[in-house]
Amino acid sequence: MENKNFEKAIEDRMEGFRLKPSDTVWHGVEKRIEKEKKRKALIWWWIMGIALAGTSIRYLNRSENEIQTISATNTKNFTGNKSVDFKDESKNAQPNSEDPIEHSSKNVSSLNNFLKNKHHLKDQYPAIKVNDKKSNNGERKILFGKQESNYSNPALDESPKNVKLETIHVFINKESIGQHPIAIEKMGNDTIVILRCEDIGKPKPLLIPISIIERQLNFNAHLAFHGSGDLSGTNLEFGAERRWGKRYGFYNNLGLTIHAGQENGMFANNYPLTVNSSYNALQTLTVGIQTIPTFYRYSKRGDLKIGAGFVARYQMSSYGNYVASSLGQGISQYTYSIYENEPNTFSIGYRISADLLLYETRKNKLGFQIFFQNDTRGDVITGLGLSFQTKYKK
Amino acid sequence: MSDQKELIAKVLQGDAKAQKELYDAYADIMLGVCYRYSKSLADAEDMLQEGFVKVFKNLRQYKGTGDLGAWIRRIMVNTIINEIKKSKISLTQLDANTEQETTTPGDDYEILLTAKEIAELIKKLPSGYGLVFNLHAIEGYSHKEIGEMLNIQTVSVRSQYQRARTQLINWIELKNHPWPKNM
Repeated sequence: MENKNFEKAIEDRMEGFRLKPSDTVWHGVEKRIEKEKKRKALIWWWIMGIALAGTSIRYLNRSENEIQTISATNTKNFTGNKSVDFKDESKNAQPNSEDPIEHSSKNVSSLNNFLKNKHHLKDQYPAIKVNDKKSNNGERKILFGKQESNYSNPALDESPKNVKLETIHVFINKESIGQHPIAIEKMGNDTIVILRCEDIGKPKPLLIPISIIERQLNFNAHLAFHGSGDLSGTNLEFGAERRWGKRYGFYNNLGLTIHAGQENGMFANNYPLTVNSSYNALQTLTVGIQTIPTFYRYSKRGDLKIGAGFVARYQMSSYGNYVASSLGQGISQYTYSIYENEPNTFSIGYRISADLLLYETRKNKLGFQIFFQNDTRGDVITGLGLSFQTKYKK
Repeated sequence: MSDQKELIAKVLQGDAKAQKELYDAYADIMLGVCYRYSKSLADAEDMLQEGFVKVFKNLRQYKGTGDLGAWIRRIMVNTIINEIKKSKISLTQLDANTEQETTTPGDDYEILLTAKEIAELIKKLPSGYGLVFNLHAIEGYSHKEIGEMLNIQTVSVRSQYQRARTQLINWIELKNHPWPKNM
């Protein structure tokens, strides 16, 4: 068993033992706290960036797909047929006066065009509804309703026995969408057809053949903020874009960012000044070279495009000192030195951008562009600027 | 105490002046702690910096019930242990069964050395011994707790401690009485 006298003596003697740390310790702590703050902010930026990208894509998809109506054109004679055709009354639908039954075996390639704009309705609107009984004039309207409770046919609810399901060949504007279960309700002389949306099924929009319709060169120049801390600067970019169809584009580029400013926590005496002199601590300068392959989604009118891209960035950071060394007799020699103040870094990240068309000629376009980018180095860069685009091949 | 609460509240709000005030209040004593565990003053300052970053990062977890200094010290010691573990110092180099003959100082045992001199002697001990000695004799952790912290057996901690203790007593005796008593 150890005698505790020794431990007690040691503890008493060591109590209150202090040493004065050098100033660099606090500067280091301060810098790390700042970095930690930035890291936390960065997590929020990531979350916001992802949410923004999701919302933008959702918005673009939604704007082109308003609630559309379909009317059943042959409900009266339906019972005896093995197919039924619905007329799409949406803006883009083409009027068609031909007998739908004659085209029952036709392989219609434009089916996708009809369905690609509607497949999301399966998620948004649980069923296609019969409009109401008042318009019972032989041409019943069928709507995409917002809620199941919008269904306004009390007869169906009260007399479910009058309703039967039959799987038949369904057409929309005489375009086949395949075999689907149809609810058929008999009400006196009228037949009401209820086509349930979930029965339509999702098409495969990616199978729709699309071709490159345009190639263009893009030159972008931005004022860029918040770069590498809180520095301001500029971003210059040059790249080529290919557009597929009217709505999609892919842009690859090479960009240069230059940011300068006095960063907090930077002290000239941290750097290897060996001369006995006065000096001016110049600004921190960061230069980044980056490439950002970006996918664009164009608005229906083509005047707005939202882009989401992958950032690969190489950054160099330096710190300049303007040193006046005394040569005696009032003569000074001035030296400008640049020191690397952080190791060069390679980082990856993402960028979200929006480009609004301001002016367009046959060959050229001028747009206003904003972007937000964020990378694993912890840098957040926001930019505001102009985008010049010129077509080079059709 | 209310001043301390106010200071903590300001630090949590990100007030840079309050952060510096808190640092100034405890930096000296914490460097004293770090110094005992490290090989050089520069290493101790690195540990101090790392420890204070953790203090500011985790200050929200301080409940305000115990002594703030003790809480900071615990963070420092944990940081030091982590750093030492990272540096892969061998903590089990001593055979657990090697019992060292224990020197037992008398009741009136007195150390004539300064705190700095004692710290230097502790630093002279092999890394594992110094760590165990610091944790038991000065921080007050039991052998079992130290074993759990360092992932070594309690019996090994005890052996290392005894060896460190004996070595230190010999060195202190030598410093206390540089000339043999019979001269």
